[in-house]
Amino acid sequence: MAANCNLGSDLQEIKNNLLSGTCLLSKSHRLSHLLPVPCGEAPSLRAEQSRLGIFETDLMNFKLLSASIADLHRQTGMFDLYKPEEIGLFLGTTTMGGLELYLQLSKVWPATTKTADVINHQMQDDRILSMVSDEFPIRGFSSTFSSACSSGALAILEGALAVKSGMLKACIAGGFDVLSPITLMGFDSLQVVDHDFTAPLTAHNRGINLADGGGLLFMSHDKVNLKPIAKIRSGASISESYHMTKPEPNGRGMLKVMSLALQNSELDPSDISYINAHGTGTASNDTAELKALSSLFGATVPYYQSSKKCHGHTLAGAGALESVLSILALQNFDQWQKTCFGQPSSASPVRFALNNSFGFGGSNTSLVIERLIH
Amino acid sequence: MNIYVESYQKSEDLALGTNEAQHKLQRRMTSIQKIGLATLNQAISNSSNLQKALKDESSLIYTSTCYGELSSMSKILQSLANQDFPCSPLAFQHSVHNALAGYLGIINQLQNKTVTLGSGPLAFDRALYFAFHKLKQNICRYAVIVHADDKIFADQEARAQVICLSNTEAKETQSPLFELTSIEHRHAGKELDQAAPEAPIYIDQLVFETSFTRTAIGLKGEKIESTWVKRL
Repeated sequence: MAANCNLGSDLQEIKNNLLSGTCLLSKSHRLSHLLPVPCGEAPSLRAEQSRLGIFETDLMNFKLLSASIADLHRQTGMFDLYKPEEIGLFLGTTTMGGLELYLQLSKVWPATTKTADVINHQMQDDRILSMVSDEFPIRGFSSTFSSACSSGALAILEGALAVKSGMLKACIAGGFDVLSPITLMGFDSLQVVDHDFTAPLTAHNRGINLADGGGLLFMSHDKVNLKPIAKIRSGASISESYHMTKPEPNGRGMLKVMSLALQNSELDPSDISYINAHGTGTASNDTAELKALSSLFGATVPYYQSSKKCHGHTLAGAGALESVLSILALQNFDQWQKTCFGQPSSASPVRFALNNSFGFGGSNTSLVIERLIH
Repeated sequence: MNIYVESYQKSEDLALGTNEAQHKLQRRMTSIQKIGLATLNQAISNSSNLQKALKDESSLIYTSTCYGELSSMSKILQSLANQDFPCSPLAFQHSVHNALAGYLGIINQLQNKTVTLGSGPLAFDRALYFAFHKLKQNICRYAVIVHADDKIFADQEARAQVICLSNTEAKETQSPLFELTSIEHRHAGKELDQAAPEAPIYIDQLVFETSFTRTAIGLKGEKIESTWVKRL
């Protein structure tokens, strides 16, 4: 697994920052001239600020993504184990469609045929797949997923199912998004941006802080050459069909997707030790999600948190980044309990985490992640 | 296991919904959302198979688009260019590719797993590839693909098609019926020396054939090749 976000570009750095409780959200970032609110900026993109324009989100996403793919290869040697046509890439995104070119297009839209070449070759989410295939030997069936903030989790669920069914021998799955003027000003127009530091799932929740980031998992059946650390036990995805931007207030859609994820995993609620909540920090999400957790787990809701208080909301990258963080939490649960919950460590082993991702359009996905102990 | 396909298409002659709630929502929608919804409504009224598919919560729904929500993106970008804030909250919530999927779910009260693929020249064929494999693996009995494209060029209209795939043959349908016999993905990793003709996204452009292979070409020599037989 690999991740790249404001907390760092490698797992050790991210883990250290999370466990020391460091908040690296800041009001100083590349979009602060548009809106001076806290955001999470990836260090590698901060370093590129003078070179990349704020609309060049394709290149920014590619920078984070390619660093994570290279990191995955360092950990697994995947490109030596599999032929290019055996590895697929399933990638969640909302900001990889070439905003620079959208901007050009908006000046001439409805367009003339002169822009046809631009539209066909530059402006689409799939462009990121060809950028990746130029750089890495990935030629298996690949796809981008664009279900708003649940895109990364959905890509992981579909990737796990593709490997399980034999559609692919191996799959790199996850998602990335970067800070973009469109998402920052768009969420602000909905009045859901917290102008101070985000405080999800607390009485002080006022909204979200946006951020760069995402994560990737490498998934295969190979237990001979690889030492798997975790498994996507199962998951579920549903359409909530209530409202375009708000969840059903009692959390019914959230409850349904979590229940289905457990059912598909053949687990009971009591098997879950840790919940990485979607926890955006908006009142509507947090209230509904807390009600859903309470309905599903009753009086004994397992340890839950929203790690977005540390890394911000990475939109399509959220479900993927938080899947990686859920695995880190399961691996380091004692420290996690102390840092995140101020609790003494428990003696019982932990195996299963639930990771929630909910998006615009009522797209709800829950993943059940199992820690594998060798 | 055979995979059967029904196909429905529509271009811009939009009929507004009959009930008040649907009418109210439709007034807010973009052209891509309206055309997608209108095409699904038309397909539902013409196909008992699709009605069954949408009543079955295990059916998978895929939505795809080549270009995404251009009109919404354009509005937001114009706000940014003119520093005219706040930008339209409606345009922002409509700018996500899965806005169409959201409305399809809300209006038809569908709680199925709905997967929206990212935009690109192969978006429809990727959805087809997923649907074919899920049905072959018997994960579901039905898969429904709703593909919609915005008006891009002055001489074009917004268009949509609904494809209902099933691993059982439809008995009552008013649409051309096909059998999708295979679908293959290949990736050369470089632009093809000689560009193959692009396959039309819209299946109705192929209905006169009795059997055909469509080769959809993506970037860097990526191809998805599907073989279809028309059921007579």
